[in-house]
Amino acid sequence: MTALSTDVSDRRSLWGAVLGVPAPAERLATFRIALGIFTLSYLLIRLPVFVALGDRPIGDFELVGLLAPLASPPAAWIVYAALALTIVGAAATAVGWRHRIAGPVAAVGMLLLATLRGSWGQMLHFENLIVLHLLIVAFAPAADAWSLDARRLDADSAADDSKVEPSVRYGWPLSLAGLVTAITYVIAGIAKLRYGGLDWVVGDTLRNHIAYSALDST
Amino acid sequence: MQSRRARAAVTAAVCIALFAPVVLDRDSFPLSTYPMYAYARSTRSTIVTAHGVDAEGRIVGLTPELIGDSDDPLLVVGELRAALSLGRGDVRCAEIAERVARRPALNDVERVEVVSERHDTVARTRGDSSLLERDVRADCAVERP
Repeated sequence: MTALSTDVSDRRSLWGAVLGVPAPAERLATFRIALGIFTLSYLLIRLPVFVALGDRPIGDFELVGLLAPLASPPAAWIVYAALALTIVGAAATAVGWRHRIAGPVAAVGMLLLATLRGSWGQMLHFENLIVLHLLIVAFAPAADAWSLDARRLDADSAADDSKVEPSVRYGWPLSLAGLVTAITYVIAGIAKLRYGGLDWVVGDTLRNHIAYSALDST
Repeated sequence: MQSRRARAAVTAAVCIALFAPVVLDRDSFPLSTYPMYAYARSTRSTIVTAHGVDAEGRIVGLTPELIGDSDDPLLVVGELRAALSLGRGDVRCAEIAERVARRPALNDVERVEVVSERHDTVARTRGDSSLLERDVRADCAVERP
């Protein structure tokens, strides 16, 4: 009873909510499946853009992020190989096949492709969260349920009841992903006040941005 | 990795990494200051784009696919702006002209102009006349066999 009370009290703090909340394996698996499908769909829908990364004029190139130290873009075959591996990795993440390999492949591949795409002039900030969430899922036990990996283990196991118990192992990655999302929006809010000032709250900044975006997109 | 102390360390490291660009005031990827739409913007803005010009001097609108080989206008504009800032407007103009030359529907287009245009953006959104200034940054002929 004392242990339970401590546990409940701990969860009331933000730190405790991030670190100590157990969750069923299926909940983390749902996140893995949704993220894998989203990433796969994004790569396939935007395939022409990513394929074109292998054939961009070198003069327009300015590497950003982790690739910034490089003097020139990677060879086209590296881009195409990374794209193929990332697509396979995202599909494997969605179905939970060889997750310990597929998860990191999808995460690192998406990081590379999004960094490269941003090196030719336009940063798309929504890609940041895709990459950060993929990195979290890649190193989490996200394929312990609702996955081909789990089915294979069940088939190999002699145990009658192979149901996975709820655990902090499954809750923490979800809490961490939620924390990353929340912090991202906090930082975006800080940027509004830092760069735009109070005009963002009381002025016409937002109206003018919407009008500019309408012009920029036509 | 599954002890509470390890989880706390990783969580703290992730938080520090996320806020690092804010402290350093340096945008990057995948860690960012998320500066999109943050800066104050007036009602008057300059955009870069490209259009065709026919024999009569009439302006012919071009699609994002023709201007930047992509269907995403944000990408196309961003890349065109980057090309101009790197002094590669002529190269980009020639690429656009090549794509225009392959479109039979645009046979009347004789030249391509890469331009920066200053607009009253709110007026344009309202459907009013908005063009304040046009500066031709690159000009090239559409060559057909």
